[in-house]
Amino acid sequence: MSSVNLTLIIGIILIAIGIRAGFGIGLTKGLSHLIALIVTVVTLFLILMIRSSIHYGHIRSGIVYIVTLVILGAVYGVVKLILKSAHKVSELPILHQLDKLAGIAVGIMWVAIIYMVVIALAHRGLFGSFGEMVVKDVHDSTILTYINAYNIMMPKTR
Amino acid sequence: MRDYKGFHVVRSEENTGTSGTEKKGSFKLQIAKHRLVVGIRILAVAAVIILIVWLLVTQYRNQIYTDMTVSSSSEKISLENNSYLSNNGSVITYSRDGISGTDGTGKVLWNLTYEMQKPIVHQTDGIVAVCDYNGHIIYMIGQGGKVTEIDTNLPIHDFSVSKEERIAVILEDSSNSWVNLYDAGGAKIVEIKATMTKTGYPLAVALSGEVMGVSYFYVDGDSMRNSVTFYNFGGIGENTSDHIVSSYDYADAVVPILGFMNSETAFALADNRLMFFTGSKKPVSSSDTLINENIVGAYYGDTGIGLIFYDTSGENKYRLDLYDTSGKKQMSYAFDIDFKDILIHRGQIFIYNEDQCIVLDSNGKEKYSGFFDNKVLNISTTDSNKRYIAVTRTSIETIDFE
Repeated sequence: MSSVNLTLIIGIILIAIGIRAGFGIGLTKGLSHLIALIVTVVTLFLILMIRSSIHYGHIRSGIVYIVTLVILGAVYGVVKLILKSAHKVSELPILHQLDKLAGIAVGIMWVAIIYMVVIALAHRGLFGSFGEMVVKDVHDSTILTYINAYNIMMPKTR
Repeated sequence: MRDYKGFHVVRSEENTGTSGTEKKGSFKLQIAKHRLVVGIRILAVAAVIILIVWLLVTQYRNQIYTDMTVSSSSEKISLENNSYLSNNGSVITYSRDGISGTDGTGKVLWNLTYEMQKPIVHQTDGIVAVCDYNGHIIYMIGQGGKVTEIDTNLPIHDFSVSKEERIAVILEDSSNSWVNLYDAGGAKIVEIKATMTKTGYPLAVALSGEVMGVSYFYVDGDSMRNSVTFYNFGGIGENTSDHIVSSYDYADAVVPILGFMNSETAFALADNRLMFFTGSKKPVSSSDTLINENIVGAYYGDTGIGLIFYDTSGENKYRLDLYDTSGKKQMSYAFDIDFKDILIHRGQIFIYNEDQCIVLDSNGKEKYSGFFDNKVLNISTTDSNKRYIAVTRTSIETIDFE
Protein backbone atom coordinates (compact mmCIF):
# COMPACT_ATOMS: atom_id res chain seq x y z
CA MET A 1 0.00 0.00 0.00
CA SER A 2 1.43 3.37 -0.96
CA SER A 3 0.69 6.42 1.16
CA VAL A 4 0.27 9.27 -1.29
CA ASN A 5 -1.83 9.34 -4.45
CA LEU A 6 -3.99 11.77 -6.43
CA THR A 7 -7.18 11.11 -4.43
CA LEU A 8 -5.32 11.75 -1.18
CA ILE A 9 -3.83 14.97 -2.57
CA ILE A 10 -7.29 16.14 -3.72
CA GLY A 11 -8.58 15.23 -0.24
CA ILE A 12 -5.86 17.33 1.42
CA ILE A 13 -6.63 20.30 -0.87
CA LEU A 14 -10.34 19.92 -0.04
CA ILE A 15 -9.54 19.86 3.67
CA ALA A 16 -7.55 23.09 3.24
CA ILE A 17 -10.58 24.65 1.50
CA GLY A 18 -12.81 23.28 4.26
CA ILE A 19 -10.57 24.80 6.94
CA ARG A 20 -10.66 28.19 5.19
CA ALA A 21 -14.43 28.07 4.71
CA GLY A 22 -15.02 26.80 8.25
CA PHE A 23 -12.87 29.60 9.72
CA GLY A 24 -14.78 32.15 7.67
CA ILE A 25 -18.23 30.96 8.67
CA GLY A 26 -17.58 30.08 12.32
CA LEU A 27 -18.70 27.21 14.53
CA THR A 28 -22.27 28.18 15.38
CA LYS A 29 -23.32 29.13 11.86
CA GLY A 30 -21.43 26.21 10.27
CA LEU A 31 -22.87 23.75 12.77
CA SER A 32 -26.34 25.13 12.17
CA HIS A 33 -25.98 24.47 8.41
CA LEU A 34 -24.49 21.03 8.99
CA ILE A 35 -27.27 19.99 11.37
CA ALA A 36 -29.88 21.29 8.93
CA LEU A 37 -28.34 19.09 6.22
CA ILE A 38 -28.26 16.02 8.48
CA VAL A 39 -31.85 16.59 9.66
CA THR A 40 -33.04 16.98 6.04
CA VAL A 41 -31.31 13.75 5.04
CA VAL A 42 -32.68 11.82 8.02
CA THR A 43 -36.18 13.27 7.45
CA LEU A 44 -36.20 12.19 3.80
CA PHE A 45 -34.87 8.77 4.78
CA LEU A 46 -37.60 8.37 7.42
CA ILE A 47 -40.30 9.48 4.96
CA LEU A 48 -39.13 6.80 2.51
CA MET A 49 -39.17 4.21 5.30
CA ILE A 50 -42.70 5.26 6.35
CA ARG A 51 -43.83 4.95 2.72
CA SER A 52 -42.25 1.51 2.47
CA SER A 53 -43.82 0.39 5.79
CA ILE A 54 -47.28 1.49 4.64
CA HIS A 55 -46.77 -0.21 1.28
CA TYR A 56 -45.95 -3.55 2.93
CA GLY A 57 -48.53 -3.10 5.70
CA HIS A 58 -45.92 -2.98 8.49
CA ILE A 59 -47.93 -0.67 10.70
CA ARG A 60 -45.76 -1.08 13.81
CA SER A 61 -42.59 -0.12 11.95
CA GLY A 62 -44.45 2.78 10.31
CA ILE A 63 -45.52 4.10 13.71
CA VAL A 64 -41.93 3.80 15.02
CA TYR A 65 -40.66 5.84 12.03
CA ILE A 66 -43.40 8.47 12.47
CA VAL A 67 -42.61 8.82 16.20
CA THR A 68 -38.89 9.10 15.36
CA LEU A 69 -39.71 11.81 12.82
CA VAL A 70 -41.75 13.77 15.38
CA ILE A 71 -38.97 13.44 18.01
CA LEU A 72 -36.39 14.51 15.42
CA GLY A 73 -38.48 17.59 14.60
CA ALA A 74 -38.81 18.51 18.28
CA VAL A 75 -35.11 17.98 19.01
CA TYR A 76 -34.14 19.97 15.92
CA GLY A 77 -36.36 22.84 17.06
CA VAL A 78 -34.57 22.96 20.43
CA VAL A 79 -31.09 22.60 18.88
CA LYS A 80 -31.87 25.38 16.40
CA LEU A 81 -32.90 27.67 19.24
CA ILE A 82 -29.72 26.88 21.20
CA LEU A 83 -27.53 27.49 18.14
CA LYS A 84 -29.27 30.78 17.40
CA SER A 85 -28.57 31.98 20.95
CA ALA A 86 -25.01 30.66 20.76
CA HIS A 87 -24.50 32.55 17.51
CA LYS A 88 -25.54 35.81 19.18
CA VAL A 89 -23.13 35.13 22.06
CA SER A 90 -20.34 34.25 19.63
CA GLU A 91 -20.45 37.77 18.21
CA LEU A 92 -18.86 39.07 21.42
CA PRO A 93 -15.14 39.93 21.29
CA ILE A 94 -12.69 37.06 21.93
CA LEU A 95 -15.59 34.57 21.61
CA HIS A 96 -15.89 35.65 17.99
CA GLN A 97 -12.31 34.54 17.31
CA LEU A 98 -12.86 31.28 19.22
CA ASP A 99 -16.00 30.67 17.20
CA LYS A 100 -14.08 31.17 13.96
CA LEU A 101 -11.29 28.81 15.12
CA ALA A 102 -13.77 26.11 16.16
CA GLY A 103 -15.47 26.58 12.77
CA ILE A 104 -12.44 24.82 11.25
CA ALA A 105 -13.74 21.53 12.70
CA VAL A 106 -17.10 22.05 10.99
CA GLY A 107 -15.35 22.84 7.71
CA ILE A 108 -13.45 19.55 7.98
CA MET A 109 -16.72 17.73 8.73
CA TRP A 110 -18.26 19.17 5.54
CA VAL A 111 -15.28 17.95 3.56
CA ALA A 112 -15.59 14.52 5.23
CA ILE A 113 -19.25 14.27 4.19
CA ILE A 114 -18.52 15.27 0.59
CA TYR A 115 -15.56 12.85 0.56
CA MET A 116 -17.77 9.99 1.82
CA VAL A 117 -20.43 10.72 -0.81
CA VAL A 118 -17.88 10.86 -3.64
CA ILE A 119 -16.15 7.62 -2.56
CA ALA A 120 -19.49 5.81 -2.12
CA LEU A 121 -20.66 6.98 -5.56
CA ALA A 122 -17.34 5.96 -7.11
CA HIS A 123 -17.74 2.48 -5.57
CA ARG A 124 -21.12 2.21 -7.25
CA GLY A 125 -19.46 2.90 -10.60
CA LEU A 126 -21.11 6.28 -11.20
CA PHE A 127 -18.03 8.22 -12.27
CA GLY A 128 -16.64 5.88 -14.93
CA SER A 129 -12.84 5.79 -15.22
CA PHE A 130 -12.43 8.62 -12.70
CA GLY A 131 -14.43 6.57 -10.19
CA GLU A 132 -12.28 3.52 -10.88
CA MET A 133 -9.17 5.59 -10.19
CA VAL A 134 -10.67 6.85 -6.92
CA VAL A 135 -11.58 3.31 -5.83
CA LYS A 136 -8.07 2.09 -6.65
CA ASP A 137 -6.47 5.04 -4.84
CA VAL A 138 -8.59 4.39 -1.74
CA HIS A 139 -7.63 0.72 -1.82
CA ASP A 140 -3.93 1.56 -2.27
CA SER A 141 -3.71 4.18 0.46
CA THR A 142 -3.50 3.17 4.13
CA ILE A 143 -4.89 6.51 5.31
CA LEU A 144 -7.80 6.55 2.84
CA THR A 145 -8.65 2.92 3.59
CA TYR A 146 -8.67 3.71 7.31
CA ILE A 147 -10.90 6.78 6.84
CA ASN A 148 -13.18 4.87 4.46
CA ALA A 149 -13.77 2.17 7.09
CA TYR A 150 -16.01 4.74 8.82
CA ASN A 151 -17.92 5.61 5.64
CA ILE A 152 -21.51 4.62 6.45
CA MET A 153 -22.52 5.02 2.81
CA MET A 154 -20.06 2.39 1.59
CA PRO A 155 -21.40 -1.01 0.51
CA LYS A 156 -20.19 -3.70 2.93
CA THR A 157 -18.24 -6.69 1.65
CA ARG A 158 -17.74 -10.04 3.30
CA MET B 1 -34.68 72.52 16.78
CA ARG B 2 -31.58 71.47 14.90
CA ASP B 3 -30.32 73.60 12.08
CA TYR B 4 -29.82 71.53 8.90
CA LYS B 5 -28.70 74.48 6.84
CA GLY B 6 -25.84 73.70 4.49
CA PHE B 7 -27.04 70.08 3.95
CA HIS B 8 -28.67 68.96 0.74
CA VAL B 9 -29.63 65.65 -0.85
CA VAL B 10 -26.74 64.22 -2.86
CA ARG B 11 -28.01 63.04 -6.21
CA SER B 12 -26.39 60.04 -7.89
CA GLU B 13 -25.10 62.15 -10.79
CA GLU B 14 -23.31 64.40 -8.33
CA ASN B 15 -21.97 61.51 -6.20
CA THR B 16 -20.55 59.12 -8.76
CA GLY B 17 -20.76 60.92 -11.94
CA THR B 18 -22.70 57.96 -13.46
CA SER B 19 -26.18 58.34 -14.85
CA GLY B 20 -29.26 56.97 -12.99
CA THR B 21 -30.01 54.48 -15.76
CA GLU B 22 -26.49 53.03 -15.62
CA LYS B 23 -26.67 52.72 -11.85
CA LYS B 24 -30.06 51.01 -12.06
CA GLY B 25 -28.68 48.57 -14.64
CA SER B 26 -25.71 47.78 -12.42
CA PHE B 27 -28.01 47.06 -9.47
CA LYS B 28 -30.12 44.78 -11.62
CA LEU B 29 -26.99 42.94 -12.71
CA GLN B 30 -25.87 42.56 -9.12
CA ILE B 31 -29.28 41.25 -8.08
CA ALA B 32 -29.25 38.77 -10.98
CA LYS B 33 -25.75 37.62 -10.01
CA HIS B 34 -26.80 37.24 -6.39
CA ARG B 35 -29.87 35.25 -7.40
CA LEU B 36 -27.74 33.02 -9.61
CA VAL B 37 -25.28 32.34 -6.78
CA VAL B 38 -28.11 31.59 -4.35
CA GLY B 39 -29.82 29.36 -6.94
CA ILE B 40 -26.61 27.41 -7.63
CA ARG B 41 -26.04 27.05 -3.88
CA ILE B 42 -29.58 25.73 -3.32
CA LEU B 43 -29.24 23.30 -6.25
CA ALA B 44 -25.85 22.08 -4.98
CA VAL B 45 -27.19 21.49 -1.46
CA ALA B 46 -30.31 19.76 -2.86
CA ALA B 47 -28.11 17.54 -5.05
CA VAL B 48 -25.91 16.62 -2.08
CA ILE B 49 -29.01 15.84 0.03
CA ILE B 50 -30.56 13.69 -2.71
CA LEU B 51 -27.28 11.84 -3.27
CA ILE B 52 -26.81 11.15 0.44
CA VAL B 53 -30.41 9.94 0.83
CA TRP B 54 -30.08 7.75 -2.27
CA LEU B 55 -26.81 6.30 -0.96
CA LEU B 56 -28.28 5.64 2.49
CA VAL B 57 -31.42 4.00 1.07
CA THR B 58 -29.50 1.76 -1.35
CA GLN B 59 -27.03 1.00 1.43
CA TYR B 60 -29.91 0.06 3.74
CA ARG B 61 -31.55 -2.13 1.08
CA ASN B 62 -28.39 -3.81 -0.17
CA GLN B 63 -26.82 -4.26 3.21
CA ILE B 64 -24.70 -7.36 3.54
CA TYR B 65 -24.48 -9.10 6.88
CA THR B 66 -21.01 -10.01 8.02
CA ASP B 67 -21.90 -11.77 11.24
CA MET B 68 -24.73 -13.65 12.96
CA THR B 69 -24.81 -13.49 16.75
CA VAL B 70 -27.12 -14.79 19.48
CA SER B 71 -28.21 -11.70 21.41
CA SER B 72 -30.41 -13.50 23.94
CA SER B 73 -31.23 -17.05 24.85
CA SER B 74 -33.88 -18.62 27.06
CA GLU B 75 -33.08 -21.00 29.91
CA LYS B 76 -32.52 -24.58 28.88
CA ILE B 77 -35.80 -26.25 28.03
CA SER B 78 -36.67 -29.32 26.04
CA LEU B 79 -38.11 -28.26 22.72
CA GLU B 80 -37.95 -31.50 20.79
CA ASN B 81 -41.03 -33.52 19.83
CA ASN B 82 -42.96 -30.34 19.06
CA SER B 83 -43.92 -28.64 15.85
CA TYR B 84 -43.33 -24.96 15.22
CA LEU B 85 -44.82 -22.20 13.20
CA SER B 86 -43.26 -18.86 12.43
CA ASN B 87 -45.30 -16.02 13.84
CA ASN B 88 -43.96 -12.52 13.37
CA GLY B 89 -42.23 -11.60 16.65
CA SER B 90 -42.97 -14.89 18.40
CA VAL B 91 -42.90 -18.65 17.95
CA ILE B 92 -45.92 -20.92 17.98
CA THR B 93 -45.11 -24.29 19.51
CA TYR B 94 -47.69 -27.05 19.18
CA SER B 95 -48.08 -30.74 19.72
CA ARG B 96 -50.89 -33.24 20.20
CA ASP B 97 -51.36 -31.96 23.77
CA GLY B 98 -51.39 -28.20 23.39
CA ILE B 99 -50.20 -25.02 21.77
CA SER B 100 -48.31 -21.98 23.06
CA GLY B 101 -46.91 -18.68 21.88
CA THR B 102 -43.42 -17.73 23.05
CA ASP B 103 -41.41 -14.56 22.54
CA GLY B 104 -37.72 -14.34 21.65
CA THR B 105 -36.64 -14.54 25.28
CA GLY B 106 -38.52 -17.79 25.90
CA LYS B 107 -41.34 -16.09 27.82
CA VAL B 108 -44.64 -17.89 27.27
CA LEU B 109 -47.18 -15.33 26.01
CA TRP B 110 -50.17 -17.66 26.01
CA ASN B 111 -50.89 -21.36 26.05
CA LEU B 112 -53.77 -23.74 25.53
CA THR B 113 -54.08 -27.44 26.26
CA TYR B 114 -56.14 -29.89 24.22
CA GLU B 115 -55.97 -33.41 22.86
CA MET B 116 -55.69 -33.76 19.11
CA GLN B 117 -54.44 -36.50 16.82
CA LYS B 118 -53.24 -34.35 13.94
CA PRO B 119 -53.33 -30.65 14.81
CA ILE B 120 -53.41 -28.15 11.96
CA VAL B 121 -52.34 -24.60 12.80
CA HIS B 122 -52.75 -21.42 10.76
CA GLN B 123 -51.90 -17.86 11.76
CA THR B 124 -52.30 -14.37 10.33
CA ASP B 125 -50.88 -11.24 11.94
CA GLY B 126 -50.75 -12.76 15.41
CA ILE B 127 -54.20 -14.43 15.26
CA VAL B 128 -53.69 -18.18 15.62
CA ALA B 129 -56.18 -20.99 15.04
CA VAL B 130 -55.76 -24.70 15.65
CA CYS B 131 -57.95 -27.69 14.93
CA ASP B 132 -57.66 -31.43 14.55
CA TYR B 133 -57.71 -32.71 10.99
CA ASN B 134 -61.21 -34.13 10.51
CA GLY B 135 -62.14 -32.85 13.97
CA HIS B 136 -64.94 -30.37 14.57
CA ILE B 137 -63.52 -27.96 17.14
CA ILE B 138 -61.40 -24.94 16.23
CA TYR B 139 -59.63 -22.88 18.87
CA MET B 140 -58.90 -19.32 17.81
CA ILE B 141 -56.34 -17.47 19.92
CA GLY B 142 -56.68 -13.72 19.47
CA GLN B 143 -54.56 -10.81 20.59
CA GLY B 144 -53.58 -11.16 24.24
CA GLY B 145 -54.24 -14.90 24.26
CA LYS B 146 -58.07 -14.70 24.29
CA VAL B 147 -59.39 -18.12 23.21
CA THR B 148 -62.58 -18.62 21.20
CA GLU B 149 -63.87 -22.15 20.74
CA ILE B 150 -65.83 -22.86 17.58
CA ASP B 151 -67.75 -26.09 17.11
CA THR B 152 -68.39 -26.73 13.42
CA ASN B 153 -70.35 -29.97 14.02
CA LEU B 154 -68.83 -31.39 10.84
CA PRO B 155 -65.31 -32.68 10.08
CA ILE B 156 -62.90 -29.89 9.16
CA HIS B 157 -60.98 -30.28 5.94
CA ASP B 158 -59.20 -26.89 5.76
CA PHE B 159 -59.52 -23.43 7.24
CA SER B 160 -58.16 -19.91 7.09
CA VAL B 161 -57.99 -17.21 9.75
CA SER B 162 -57.91 -13.45 9.22
CA LYS B 163 -56.50 -10.64 11.33
CA GLU B 164 -60.09 -9.51 11.99
CA GLU B 165 -60.46 -12.76 13.98
CA ARG B 166 -62.74 -14.44 11.49
CA ILE B 167 -62.40 -18.04 10.39
CA ALA B 168 -63.41 -19.58 7.06
CA VAL B 169 -63.72 -23.35 7.16
CA ILE B 170 -64.17 -26.12 4.61
CA LEU B 171 -66.31 -28.86 6.12
CA GLU B 172 -67.35 -32.22 4.79
CA ASP B 173 -70.16 -34.60 5.51
CA SER B 174 -70.94 -37.84 3.75
CA SER B 175 -72.62 -36.23 0.74
CA ASN B 176 -71.72 -32.52 0.61
CA SER B 177 -69.08 -29.99 1.42
CA TRP B 178 -69.65 -26.68 3.18
CA VAL B 179 -67.75 -23.43 3.30
CA ASN B 180 -68.65 -21.63 6.51
CA LEU B 181 -67.54 -18.32 7.95
CA TYR B 182 -67.38 -17.64 11.70
CA ASP B 183 -66.93 -14.27 13.41
CA ALA B 184 -64.68 -13.34 16.34
CA GLY B 185 -67.29 -14.56 18.84
CA GLY B 186 -67.50 -17.97 17.17
CA ALA B 187 -70.95 -17.39 15.61
CA LYS B 188 -71.61 -18.76 12.14
CA ILE B 189 -72.27 -15.82 9.80
CA VAL B 190 -72.08 -17.51 6.39
CA GLU B 191 -72.86 -21.01 5.18
CA ILE B 192 -72.24 -22.06 1.57
CA LYS B 193 -73.27 -25.51 0.43
CA ALA B 194 -70.81 -26.82 -2.14
CA THR B 195 -71.66 -29.65 -4.48
CA MET B 196 -69.72 -31.15 -7.38
CA THR B 197 -72.52 -30.31 -9.80
CA LYS B 198 -73.18 -26.70 -8.74
CA THR B 199 -70.04 -25.09 -7.33
CA GLY B 200 -67.44 -27.84 -7.39
CA TYR B 201 -65.48 -29.43 -4.58
CA PRO B 202 -63.79 -26.85 -2.31
CA LEU B 203 -60.05 -27.48 -2.16
CA ALA B 204 -58.74 -24.38 -0.42
CA VAL B 205 -60.02 -21.28 1.33
CA ALA B 206 -58.43 -17.92 2.13
CA LEU B 207 -59.70 -14.99 4.12
CA SER B 208 -58.78 -11.31 4.36
CA GLY B 209 -61.05 -8.58 5.73
CA GLU B 210 -64.46 -8.84 4.09
CA VAL B 211 -63.20 -11.03 1.26
CA MET B 212 -63.12 -14.81 1.17
CA GLY B 213 -61.56 -16.76 -1.68
CA VAL B 214 -62.42 -20.39 -2.39
CA SER B 215 -60.81 -22.76 -4.85
CA TYR B 216 -63.41 -25.13 -6.31
CA PHE B 217 -62.45 -28.21 -8.29
CA TYR B 218 -64.98 -29.66 -10.70
CA VAL B 219 -65.29 -31.94 -13.70
CA ASP B 220 -66.79 -30.63 -16.91
CA GLY B 221 -67.46 -33.45 -19.37
CA ASP B 222 -64.17 -35.28 -19.59
CA SER B 223 -61.97 -32.39 -18.50
CA MET B 224 -61.09 -31.30 -15.01
CA ARG B 225 -61.39 -27.62 -14.21
CA ASN B 226 -60.83 -25.35 -11.27
CA SER B 227 -62.45 -22.08 -10.39
CA VAL B 228 -61.22 -19.44 -7.97
CA THR B 229 -64.17 -17.54 -6.54
CA PHE B 230 -64.07 -14.45 -4.34
CA TYR B 231 -66.93 -13.55 -2.02
CA ASN B 232 -67.37 -10.18 -0.35
CA PHE B 233 -69.39 -10.18 2.85
CA GLY B 234 -69.31 -6.42 3.26
CA GLY B 235 -71.25 -3.66 1.51
CA ILE B 236 -69.98 -4.43 -2.00
CA GLY B 237 -71.01 -8.09 -1.87
CA GLU B 238 -74.59 -7.25 -0.84
CA ASN B 239 -75.41 -6.12 -4.37
CA THR B 240 -74.05 -9.22 -6.07
CA SER B 241 -75.48 -12.69 -6.51
CA ASP B 242 -74.49 -14.95 -3.57
CA HIS B 243 -71.95 -12.27 -2.53
CA ILE B 244 -69.69 -13.40 -5.41
CA VAL B 245 -67.65 -10.42 -6.60
CA SER B 246 -65.34 -12.24 -9.01
CA SER B 247 -64.73 -15.75 -10.26
CA TYR B 248 -62.15 -17.21 -12.65
CA ASP B 249 -62.10 -20.60 -14.33
CA TYR B 250 -59.00 -22.53 -15.25
CA ALA B 251 -58.97 -25.57 -17.50
CA ASP B 252 -56.79 -28.60 -16.74
CA ALA B 253 -55.67 -27.14 -13.42
CA VAL B 254 -55.97 -28.10 -9.78
CA VAL B 255 -55.59 -25.21 -7.31
CA PRO B 256 -54.76 -26.60 -3.87
CA ILE B 257 -53.14 -23.42 -2.52
CA LEU B 258 -54.92 -20.11 -2.17
CA GLY B 259 -53.79 -17.25 0.04
CA PHE B 260 -53.67 -13.54 0.74
CA MET B 261 -50.17 -12.05 0.77
CA ASN B 262 -51.55 -8.79 2.13
CA SER B 263 -54.96 -7.10 2.20
CA GLU B 264 -54.59 -6.05 -1.47
CA THR B 265 -53.13 -9.18 -3.05
CA ALA B 266 -54.29 -12.78 -3.27
CA PHE B 267 -52.64 -15.61 -5.14
CA ALA B 268 -53.62 -19.07 -6.27
CA LEU B 269 -51.15 -21.79 -7.07
CA ALA B 270 -52.07 -24.65 -9.36
CA ASP B 271 -49.88 -27.53 -10.40
CA ASN B 272 -49.21 -25.76 -13.69
CA ARG B 273 -49.83 -22.03 -13.14
CA LEU B 274 -49.54 -19.18 -10.69
CA MET B 275 -52.29 -16.57 -10.56
CA PHE B 276 -52.45 -13.21 -8.79
CA PHE B 277 -55.50 -11.16 -7.90
CA THR B 278 -55.52 -7.52 -6.85
CA GLY B 279 -58.12 -5.60 -4.83
CA SER B 280 -59.13 -5.54 -1.20
CA LYS B 281 -62.89 -5.53 -1.91
CA LYS B 282 -63.18 -7.17 -5.31
CA PRO B 283 -60.07 -9.13 -6.28
CA VAL B 284 -59.52 -9.16 -10.03
CA SER B 285 -57.01 -11.23 -11.95
CA SER B 286 -53.80 -9.25 -12.37
CA SER B 287 -51.38 -11.91 -13.52
CA ASP B 288 -51.41 -15.50 -14.76
CA THR B 289 -48.14 -17.34 -15.28
CA LEU B 290 -47.92 -20.81 -16.75
CA ILE B 291 -45.43 -23.15 -15.12
CA ASN B 292 -43.91 -25.99 -17.08
CA GLU B 293 -41.79 -27.56 -14.36
CA ASN B 294 -42.59 -29.67 -11.33
CA ILE B 295 -43.02 -27.46 -8.28
CA VAL B 296 -41.08 -28.85 -5.31
CA GLY B 297 -42.42 -26.34 -2.82
CA ALA B 298 -44.13 -22.97 -2.47
CA TYR B 299 -43.48 -20.40 0.24
CA TYR B 300 -45.09 -17.02 0.52
CA GLY B 301 -44.90 -13.93 2.67
CA ASP B 302 -46.01 -10.32 2.65
CA THR B 303 -43.77 -9.31 -0.25
CA GLY B 304 -43.77 -12.28 -2.58
CA ILE B 305 -44.11 -15.95 -3.28
CA GLY B 306 -41.17 -18.26 -3.85
CA LEU B 307 -41.54 -21.40 -5.94
CA ILE B 308 -38.93 -24.11 -5.57
CA PHE B 309 -37.90 -26.26 -8.53
CA TYR B 310 -35.13 -28.77 -9.09
CA ASP B 311 -32.25 -26.97 -10.75
CA THR B 312 -32.22 -28.35 -14.26
CA SER B 313 -28.82 -26.85 -15.08
CA GLY B 314 -27.26 -29.53 -12.86
CA GLU B 315 -25.00 -27.03 -11.07
CA ASN B 316 -27.17 -26.81 -7.97
CA LYS B 317 -29.84 -28.86 -6.29
CA TYR B 318 -32.71 -26.37 -6.20
CA ARG B 319 -33.82 -23.16 -7.79
CA LEU B 320 -35.96 -20.51 -6.14
CA ASP B 321 -38.09 -18.31 -8.41
CA LEU B 322 -39.44 -15.29 -6.58
CA TYR B 323 -42.59 -13.53 -7.77
CA ASP B 324 -43.56 -10.14 -6.33
CA THR B 325 -47.10 -9.12 -5.37
CA SER B 326 -47.85 -8.01 -8.94
CA GLY B 327 -47.00 -11.48 -10.23
CA LYS B 328 -43.76 -10.35 -11.87
CA LYS B 329 -40.84 -12.75 -11.59
CA GLN B 330 -38.25 -10.86 -9.59
CA MET B 331 -35.35 -13.26 -9.54
CA SER B 332 -34.06 -16.82 -9.72
CA TYR B 333 -31.60 -18.14 -7.21
CA ALA B 334 -29.99 -21.58 -7.33
CA PHE B 335 -28.84 -23.16 -4.10
CA ASP B 336 -27.60 -26.45 -2.73
CA ILE B 337 -28.74 -26.75 0.86
CA ASP B 338 -31.47 -29.20 1.79
CA PHE B 339 -33.83 -26.59 3.16
CA LYS B 340 -36.30 -27.12 5.96
CA ASP B 341 -38.28 -23.93 5.47
CA ILE B 342 -38.14 -20.64 3.57
CA LEU B 343 -39.34 -17.34 5.04
CA ILE B 344 -40.25 -14.39 2.85
CA HIS B 345 -40.67 -11.28 4.91
CA ARG B 346 -40.14 -7.56 4.33
CA GLY B 347 -38.44 -8.17 1.00
CA GLN B 348 -35.93 -10.59 2.49
CA ILE B 349 -35.71 -14.34 1.91
CA PHE B 350 -34.42 -16.66 4.64
CA ILE B 351 -33.59 -20.21 3.53
CA TYR B 352 -32.55 -22.56 6.30
CA ASN B 353 -32.14 -26.06 7.61
CA GLU B 354 -30.97 -27.36 11.00
CA ASP B 355 -27.36 -26.33 10.46
CA GLN B 356 -27.14 -23.39 8.10
CA CYS B 357 -28.96 -20.50 6.52
CA ILE B 358 -28.86 -18.23 3.48
CA VAL B 359 -30.31 -14.72 3.55
CA LEU B 360 -31.17 -13.07 0.23
CA ASP B 361 -32.64 -9.77 -0.81
CA SER B 362 -35.53 -9.65 -3.27
CA ASN B 363 -33.10 -9.27 -6.19
CA GLY B 364 -31.42 -12.56 -5.32
CA LYS B 365 -28.33 -10.93 -3.86
CA GLU B 366 -26.82 -13.05 -1.09
CA LYS B 367 -26.77 -11.01 2.10
CA TYR B 368 -25.53 -13.76 4.37
CA SER B 369 -24.61 -17.42 4.24
CA GLY B 370 -23.41 -19.27 7.29
CA PHE B 371 -23.84 -21.93 9.94
CA PHE B 372 -25.81 -21.85 13.18
CA ASP B 373 -23.97 -22.53 16.45
CA ASN B 374 -26.74 -24.91 17.60
CA LYS B 375 -29.08 -27.17 15.67
CA VAL B 376 -32.12 -25.13 14.70
CA LEU B 377 -35.64 -26.56 14.64
CA ASN B 378 -37.48 -23.43 13.53
CA ILE B 379 -36.95 -19.79 12.62
CA SER B 380 -39.50 -17.01 13.10
CA THR B 381 -39.43 -13.52 11.65
CA THR B 382 -39.62 -10.30 13.68
CA ASP B 383 -40.36 -6.68 12.77
CA SER B 384 -36.70 -6.23 11.90
CA ASN B 385 -34.92 -7.73 8.90
CA LYS B 386 -31.81 -8.09 11.03
CA ARG B 387 -33.45 -10.12 13.80
CA TYR B 388 -34.95 -13.60 13.83
CA ILE B 389 -36.11 -15.95 16.56
CA ALA B 390 -34.56 -19.41 16.46
CA VAL B 391 -35.85 -22.50 18.24
CA THR B 392 -32.98 -24.87 18.98
CA ARG B 393 -33.25 -28.25 20.66
CA THR B 394 -32.75 -26.76 24.11
CA SER B 395 -33.59 -23.07 23.99
CA ILE B 396 -35.20 -20.19 22.16
CA GLU B 397 -32.64 -17.73 20.87
CA THR B 398 -32.79 -14.27 19.35
CA ILE B 399 -30.32 -14.06 16.50
CA ASP B 400 -29.09 -10.77 15.13
CA PHE B 401 -27.33 -10.05 11.86
CA GLU B 402 -24.67 -7.36 11.73
